[in-house]
This record gives sequence, structure tokens and C-alpha cells, in this order.
Amino acid sequence: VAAIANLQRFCEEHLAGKYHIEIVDLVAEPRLARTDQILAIPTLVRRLPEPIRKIIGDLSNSERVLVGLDLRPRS
Amino acid sequence: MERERTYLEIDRLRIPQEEAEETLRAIRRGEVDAVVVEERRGDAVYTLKSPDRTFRLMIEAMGQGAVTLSPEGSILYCNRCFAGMLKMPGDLVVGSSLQAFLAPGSREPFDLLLRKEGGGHGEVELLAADGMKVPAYLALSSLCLEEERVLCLVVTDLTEQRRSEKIVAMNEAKDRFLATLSHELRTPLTPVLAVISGLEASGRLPAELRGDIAMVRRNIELEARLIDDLLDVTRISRGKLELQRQELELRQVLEHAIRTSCGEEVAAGRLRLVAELADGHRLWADAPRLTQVFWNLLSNAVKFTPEGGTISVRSWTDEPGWLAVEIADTGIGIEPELLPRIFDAFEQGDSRTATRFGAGLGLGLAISRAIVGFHGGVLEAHSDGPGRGATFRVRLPLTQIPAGAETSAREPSRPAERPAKALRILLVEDHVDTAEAIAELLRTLGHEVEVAYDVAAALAAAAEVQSREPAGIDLVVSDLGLPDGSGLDLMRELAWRYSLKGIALSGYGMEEDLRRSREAGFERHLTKPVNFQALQAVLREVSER
Repeated sequence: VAAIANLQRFCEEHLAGKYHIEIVDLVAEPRLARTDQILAIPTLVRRLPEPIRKIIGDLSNSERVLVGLDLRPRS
Repeated sequence: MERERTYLEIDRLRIPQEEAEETLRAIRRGEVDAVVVEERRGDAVYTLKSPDRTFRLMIEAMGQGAVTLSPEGSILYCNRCFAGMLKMPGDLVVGSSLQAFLAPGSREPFDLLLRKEGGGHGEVELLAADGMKVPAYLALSSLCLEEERVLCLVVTDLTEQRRSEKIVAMNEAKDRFLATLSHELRTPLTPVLAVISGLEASGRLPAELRGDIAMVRRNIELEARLIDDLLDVTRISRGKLELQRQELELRQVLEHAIRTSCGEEVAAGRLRLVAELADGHRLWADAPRLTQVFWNLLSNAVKFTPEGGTISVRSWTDEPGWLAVEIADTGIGIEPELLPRIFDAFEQGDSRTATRFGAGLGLGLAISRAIVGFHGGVLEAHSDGPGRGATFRVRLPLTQIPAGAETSAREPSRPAERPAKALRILLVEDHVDTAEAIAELLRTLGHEVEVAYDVAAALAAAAEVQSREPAGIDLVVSDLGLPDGSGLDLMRELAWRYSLKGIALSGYGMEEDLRRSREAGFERHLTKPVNFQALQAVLREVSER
């Protein structure tokens, strides 16, 4: 839940109008985990653009999220 | 071609490897709520909400830093609070050595702490990422884990505590400074006042000098009053002003304040006084303190009213249970925007007013309002603006007078009418001028005086007199700060050896000082410069007991 709030705030700040978030409850549907090879919850999966990237955790460190989504070059 | 394929392959592998690292990092940081595990029946989700989740959350939410360390001091885990103290993200803190976050002077003490069997505690300075030093208290203990030895460290940020300790220390230093300052300022006034009071009382003064001498005395008394004001402000700001309540007649207090504040101006025709004072207002209050309030208000009225103006004083029953006193003048008035600030200490109109009227420290109104407040009353100011005068109104509750209370309709500081019984007095005072002046005055009053300038001489004199005279010494009058010791110790000694009674003379008049001199055996404590009427009254009182 903290991850969702962080993600929405983050997308509004950096990607306003250019994003789509899909929330999947894996506790209710564990099968869906396999499609994206998800190991830990919560995980943010970036499907587009390719390649698929994953960020694990509550997304509280926005610097890490920026780098993980390739929105900022890694140092 | 082959090489390019290898690069692509490496790049393809890099992502899963990073993801694995990322997963471990998130788990370590406590950000992961659950893991997905492949099972034969299909995938299942296992939450990480173990029974100790509450404790994990508590450790994360703690207002203190919590750290686990390897025996060498590497940080295995830290909570948010500790990372916050260092102003760094937690995952950068984990894995480093704790020594890296210590100020240079703290590294060695911390190493000693690490090596201490069974843990320990101590204070260090942490080094935050912005270069600031953070004072912290560390408590280190050993965790009993099966596989390895882990140290548990609780870190308390002492910044706030240090700040308040500093403020308290500064306040105490200020109070001590003020007490010392007033002592130093008062000491030279004592002999001067003694000589002048002696001269005035002796009747030896030529008529043409009496006015001048009275002027000199008045100004010295004024000086003493300013010094007292400074002490009062310290007492009030520390809430340590103590009222000595007695039953009193308000009219007498007002008349006394009027006489001492503007009697001369009125007698000389420079100002006109209109007084309408009600009778029968009996109060349970501190007479000198209330006199001080009215004296302050009236002195202000005199100071800020040009020649030919009028000062009026009225008192009446305001509403049931309340009485009111109004002091109004036709003086320079008060700017509306200054009105709310005039009761603040050190505030006094603007600098022009201050220079034009030779102002004091501007403490009088602040002290007056506090004194009225301590009596449960209100002091308010009103002015129609510059040039239109000012009105100050004091409202006081008519308090119940406790049954069996000591009534004292005695006027404050009226000269002694009847001489005290002749006493044999041992006077101990290291300031030679003061000693001479007081001794001279006591002799004028008919007492026999032995003077000593220090503790040793006082003890010798006491022994000599006690062996020579069957009645011995009636009374010790002693300064408290003596070159070879304290007057308090001297009094204890004399009280124990010869059961002597004593009066303390001191420049220090804080409540704490009064208490200490009572404990040492002094019956009374007089603050310098000594008011000689008060000294006489005390002499009489002590000798009659």
C-alpha cells in the first residue's frame, strides 16, 4: 500500500499523463506471479518500453526508482 | 561478431542479477511484505508477517537508533532513525563500519566499548553526511545468536538535550552574574548610606546642608532601588518572587507611595495632586511590594508630566470583591502602538522619550504588573495618545484575611521612636569603610560594638568578650563573604559554642541566600545597602526576644 502511494506520487511528479498503472493482487491470484517471474511482493514491473524492468520494495527511495526505470542514467 | 554476441549475453544476464540483488536489498530493508514460492500444486504466496513483525515495526518506528554490529563494528542492520541521524539512506549505512560515522575524537572510546566484555555504554559524537556532529548516547549489548556473535547498539540523539542543558546553564550563569553584579554594585553604597543616615539622625547637620544631604541620600536610595529592580526581574522570570503577606490598609500604602514619589514636586508647586482615596480597604497583601507598584506608577507619572500638570490618584470599590486604584496624569501620553509593549521588560517608549526624560532601565512597569499578578490582580494602561496623558489602573481582589493573622498597621520604614535596649554587638565586616560606618551608627544608638574584619578575628574577639563579660555578646552582626571564610560557618560556630544570636548582612538577597543564612543560625538576613531603619527595627526585635 505504501508502494502504491509512492508510485502514484512519483508518476505524477515525473511522468504526468504518460503512464498507466495496473495493480495486481498476488495474494488473491498467485498464478499471475509466474508470468512476470515475480519473487517478492511488492514488485513494480515496467512492461513498456522493453526490456521489462523490476523494482522491488516500497519505492520509498525515489532516486533508486528513477535509476531503475531508466529515467536517469546510473552513476 | 562472436564478441558482440557475448556482450549481448552479458547484458541479458545483468538484468536478472540486478533483480536478485534488488530483491535481497528490499528484504533486508524490510520493504518486502511477501514472497512467491513455486510449489508442485502451483505457486503460493508466503507473507513475511512472522510473529515478530510487531517488534520489527517497533524497531523501525523507534525514536532511537537501533543498530546491529559484527564484533568488528561493521553495521549489519540499522533502523530509519539511525540513518536519519546520519542524514543518509539506510542502505548506504548498512555494510559500512560504524567507526566511519564517528567524529575523530570518538573512535578510540568506541573501540574500547566494542572490546568490553558484555557491552557497556558511553557518549560519542556521530558524524552526519552534512558534516555536522551529532552528540549521541550509545548502549551496546551482546545478542545471543547461535551461529554468530552480534552486537546490539541503541543510539540516543542528545542534540535536543544538549540544547536545553545549555539554556539552563546559561540562565543559571545569568542569575549568578546578576546576583554578583548587584552585590558588587551595592557594597560601595552601604558605607555612604550609613554615614548619611547617621548624620541625618544625629542632628549635628547645619541647617543649610540638610537639603543637600537629603538629596544625596535620596539618590543613593534610588540607585539601590534600580539594583533591586534588576534582581526582581530575575526573580519574576524564574517565578521565585515570594510575597510576605500581612493585613494592611490600602489607603496607608497609597499615602506612603504618594509621599515618597511626588511629595517634593507637589510641595514645590511644580505639579498638582488630586487624591480621592477610599477608606476601609483592608487587604491581605505584601505591603512593601504593593508600595513598590504604586511608587513605580506615580514616579512614572511624575517623570512624564511637564511642570504645571496634574496627577490624580483615586481608589474605590470597583465591583463586589474587587477594588480599583487609578493613577492618571496629564503628561506626554503613550503612542497607541506602544501601549501593548510598555509592560515588557527593558521597553520604554522610544529612544527619544528615554533621552528626554533621563530614563531608567524600563523595568518598573514589568515588575509592577508581575507583583499585581502575584496578588491575583490586574494592571492595565490607557492613553488617548501622545500629549494626552496616561492612566494606569490596578484592580485587586479583596482577599479573605486569614483568622488570627498578624496585623501590622505599622507604617513602612517609619523612623524608630524608641531606642532599642543597649546591646553588646560583635560586628564582622571586611569592608573597612562599611564596618566603620555601621559601628559608628550602632554606637550612636547607644550600643557597645566590637569590630572584627575576618572570621579568625571574630572568633578571637568572641572568646575574649565571653570570658571577660558575664553577660557575653548579645548579638552578632556579620557580613557573609569574609576574606578567610564564610559568615555562615562563623555563625554556626558561634551559635554552637556560645548560643549567640545573629543578623546576616549580605549583598546577596535571592531567596536561596535567605534560606541558607537561616539554616546557619542567623535570625534575620538584611540585604545591602542596609536600610538603617530596618536595622534598628531588627535590633529591637531581636533584643526583646
